[in-house]
Amino acid sequence: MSKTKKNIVLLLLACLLMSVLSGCAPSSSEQSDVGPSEEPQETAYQKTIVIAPALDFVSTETQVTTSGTSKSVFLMVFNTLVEQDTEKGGLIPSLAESWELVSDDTWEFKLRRGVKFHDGTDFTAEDVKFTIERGKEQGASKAKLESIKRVEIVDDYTVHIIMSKPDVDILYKLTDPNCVILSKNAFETLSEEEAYKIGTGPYTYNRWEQGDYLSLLRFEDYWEGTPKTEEIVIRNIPEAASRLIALQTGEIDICISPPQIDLHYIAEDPNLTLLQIPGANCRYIGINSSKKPFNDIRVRQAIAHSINRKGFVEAVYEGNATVHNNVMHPGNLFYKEIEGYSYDKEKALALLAEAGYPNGFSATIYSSSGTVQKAVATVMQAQMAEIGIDLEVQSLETATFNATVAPGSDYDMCVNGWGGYVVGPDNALRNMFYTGGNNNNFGFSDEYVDKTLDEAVSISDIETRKKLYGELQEYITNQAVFLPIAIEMIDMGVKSDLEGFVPPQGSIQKFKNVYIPIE
Amino acid sequence: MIRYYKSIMIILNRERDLMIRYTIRRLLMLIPILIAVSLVVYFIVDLAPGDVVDVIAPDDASPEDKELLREMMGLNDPFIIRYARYMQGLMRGDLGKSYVNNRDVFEVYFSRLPNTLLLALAGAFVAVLIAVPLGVVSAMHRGSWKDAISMIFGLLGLSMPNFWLGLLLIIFFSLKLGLFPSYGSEGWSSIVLPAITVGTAQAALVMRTTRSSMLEVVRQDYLRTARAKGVPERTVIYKHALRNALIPIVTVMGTQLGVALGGAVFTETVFAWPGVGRLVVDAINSRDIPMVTGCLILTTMLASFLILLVDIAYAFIDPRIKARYTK
Repeated sequence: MSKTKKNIVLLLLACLLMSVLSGCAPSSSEQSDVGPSEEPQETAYQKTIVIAPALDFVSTETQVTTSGTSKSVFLMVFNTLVEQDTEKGGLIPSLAESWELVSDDTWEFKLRRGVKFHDGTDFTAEDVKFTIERGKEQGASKAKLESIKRVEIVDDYTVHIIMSKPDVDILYKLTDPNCVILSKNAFETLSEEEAYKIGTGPYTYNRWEQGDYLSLLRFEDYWEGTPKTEEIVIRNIPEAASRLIALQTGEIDICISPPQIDLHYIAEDPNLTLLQIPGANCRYIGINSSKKPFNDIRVRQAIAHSINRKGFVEAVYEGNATVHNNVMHPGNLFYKEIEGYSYDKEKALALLAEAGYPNGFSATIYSSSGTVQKAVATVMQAQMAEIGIDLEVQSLETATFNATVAPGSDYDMCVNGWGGYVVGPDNALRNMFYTGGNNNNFGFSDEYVDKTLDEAVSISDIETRKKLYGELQEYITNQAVFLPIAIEMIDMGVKSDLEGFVPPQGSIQKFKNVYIPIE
Repeated sequence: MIRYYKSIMIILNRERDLMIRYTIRRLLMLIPILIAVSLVVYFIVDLAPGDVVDVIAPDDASPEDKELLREMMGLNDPFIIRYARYMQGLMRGDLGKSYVNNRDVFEVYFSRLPNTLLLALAGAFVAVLIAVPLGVVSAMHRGSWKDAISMIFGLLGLSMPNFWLGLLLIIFFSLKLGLFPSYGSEGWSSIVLPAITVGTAQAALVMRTTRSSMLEVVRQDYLRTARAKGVPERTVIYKHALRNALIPIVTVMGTQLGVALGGAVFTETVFAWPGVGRLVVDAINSRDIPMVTGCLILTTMLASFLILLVDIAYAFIDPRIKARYTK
């Protein structure tokens, strides 16, 4: 190679390198800077808190996205009308100070005064009307708001929400981050992209490098008082092991879902605390009851009796999950302790023989390609082999899996998860078990279930509702189309001195009050 | 297009413009390549079962809502109509918006590209740093224990899974020694570990190329002459032999760089390095067709331009290659 040629190649390389590097200047270099505060008069707080969730923040569109991390962020940037108290249970006021049912179909909400949006404008009844009416047309909020007919403004700080059908769960639905209150003024004056960034919450969007990090800055005029932490950074660290190491080195303060086999590192570290919270997700085996031989309830019951839940919790979750026997999540106010199906191999074999399959049969179980899902399918395969059912495991990548087991499709069994109890008992059961329900991929249709669900959602007396939902839970569990396995844990590693943490609302984290005091 | 091409050809019909003619011909060849790439990618992602609505629709969305969403996004139209609509946008330089979050594909791609380029170049740098000396040593001591050790190292680098090496490096250098950050792309120190991870894998191939290329060159007469003239052995190897052995090495490095433009998915995942690789993989998983197609079109363009630049540079430098163009 001649000297000139080599020089030219070197020069090109150098130019390319320089231009690339100049584009990668450090953007928030003082992150997790714990340095001592200059003003010693009061308790000081760590300036920045870095959170690394398992999945990345993907969208600012509050009414469109279903991403859990994005929805967790919405609860920091916005407020809902009503908030769920995840510590004590029940509902607490947020942008609405009080609410009551003033007639059969009308809710009256008294709104909070003196609340400012991030652009400095005042929050009023107009914004509530705008948000709900817009939300009725948008992908993710639509299903939550569909029982609302219209919103009437009584005065600047009072609205009437008029229902098109009885829905006592509407208050729970309004606590969902897809229903956070948007600024009417922003949507009228700014582009949609910019308008989605204007909220009333304690933090404002600062900088978003998609796939890298999202930085939020505190909102000085926040109505509950200025937050203690100046900046919250949501860091995308997709690999669980790397996420844990970043927590151990102190580069991040909160690590969501570290690898399950490595949880002891957090427990043993004096600087860290391991938090294990029963999650929203109930892992279950779904059975397509419209298909032979699963249309025979005895076959389904045989399968239900041959599931050893303790075995699942040991083998799949290393003990970090609780066995579960009911179609309803224990976190729901209307949950009832029921017996469900016990592990009983003899009974299972007898039921199979009675149904005409003394030697078992072959079928396929589908799972997504997630680690847990695949493991559940494999353990299921082993457990079913004991009663002569030969299961073939098919692990599909998520989008393919969802299409394969969608309602009305022709699959045998699947490994799935359901966490829809957060927005009330009706949502939890109706989606799954009502004839033609949005998530009813069991081909399940039962007149009694449909009738009772319709009845229960139109009654506001809690005790009567509890009785009805209790009966439903028992009845549906016995139908054995949804075979609950376990309630999964949300594992989190946090710095030991972290304060202000409250349990998540289902899978949605509530980080708006977190802070770390420093001496 | 053809008339346009011909008229340009007439204007350029002079000896010294032959290079420009060649460049234009190469640029025009990009058009069919890009059309083919977009068609194949669009078609393959479309063939995969499930669509973006299965990914972005909420758990409680009804089948009617999902259908409505598909209708709104135009997903129910036949493939050819959707592709034609996409190409129409592409002609205007509009790569479309992500199905998942409505962000501009072009903008998102270029926000990630610098990271990918940086990692590719730094990885190549590490690869050369490791591979060239090792390759020279193993060629000079063929069959000896030095050769065997280099070979074992090369095999290890090639067969060690990237993500595993990456994790080991993080545990040792970040967690135990606290020398480098364990993740991210901020500041100079954060590039070190990912670059070593990428470089080690590339080093194996470069090392083997260096070794065989050196073995070829050392048999040449002019080296024997140099030795006979009493030139010191170091000078013989590093000045006379290595220089002439460099051409295949540079070619291999060029190919590796081209591959690296597509992103290093595993390394990016372990180090939370926000590059193009993960962007594309995430987009494929969520069936975000505009994002996948847009990213791959841009990567193809970039790679083609780079190859063209290198070819032109060669032609300017090497009279033999230049002579070939003028025929």
